[in-house]
Amino acid sequence: MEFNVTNHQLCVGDIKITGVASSALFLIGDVQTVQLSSAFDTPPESLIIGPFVPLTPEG
Amino acid sequence: MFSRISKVKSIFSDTVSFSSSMQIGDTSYIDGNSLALAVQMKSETFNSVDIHFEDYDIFKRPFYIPRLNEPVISSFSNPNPFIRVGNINIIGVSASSVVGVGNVGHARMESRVKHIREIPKENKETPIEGSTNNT
Repeated sequence: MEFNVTNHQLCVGDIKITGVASSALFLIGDVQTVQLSSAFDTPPESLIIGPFVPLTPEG
Repeated sequence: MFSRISKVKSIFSDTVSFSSSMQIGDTSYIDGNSLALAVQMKSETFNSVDIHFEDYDIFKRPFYIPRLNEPVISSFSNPNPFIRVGNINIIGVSASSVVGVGNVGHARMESRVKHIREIPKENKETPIEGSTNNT
């Protein structure tokens, strides 16, 4: 595979970021290689997305 | 290979914490690593917790990264040698993160986070029951 890049003008205005966390990378510039890896483990109950609908009608 | 110059008007950050860095200038290598155990438990007093990274699989499993030697023939040309950016405002940089201005050779970043919740069990005499979900 051949990959040709021509960089013409790159102008960015103001940047506002709340947070850069957990081995994140925020970069202004060129980079040769980037390798990122992230693993996150949380108890299953915290992954349930509501609203909670009862499966059987109450009564 | 890269010859562009980054021009930033201003950069501001409130907090740079937990081994994070703000790197201004060219860098040959960035290797960031963050391991975190986040424990939430109900307690009337703050007690120290006796937990260790090696007790959880997430910190033991090998680090998977995409291979670098992709068979790609690449060429770059920079008719405009500048990357212009205005004002940068970052509230927080945390947990081995990097904010960089300038060219970078290689960057490798890794993060592993394990959340633990200890919920008190109802209808039992002993209130605290571990539900660490050790996977």
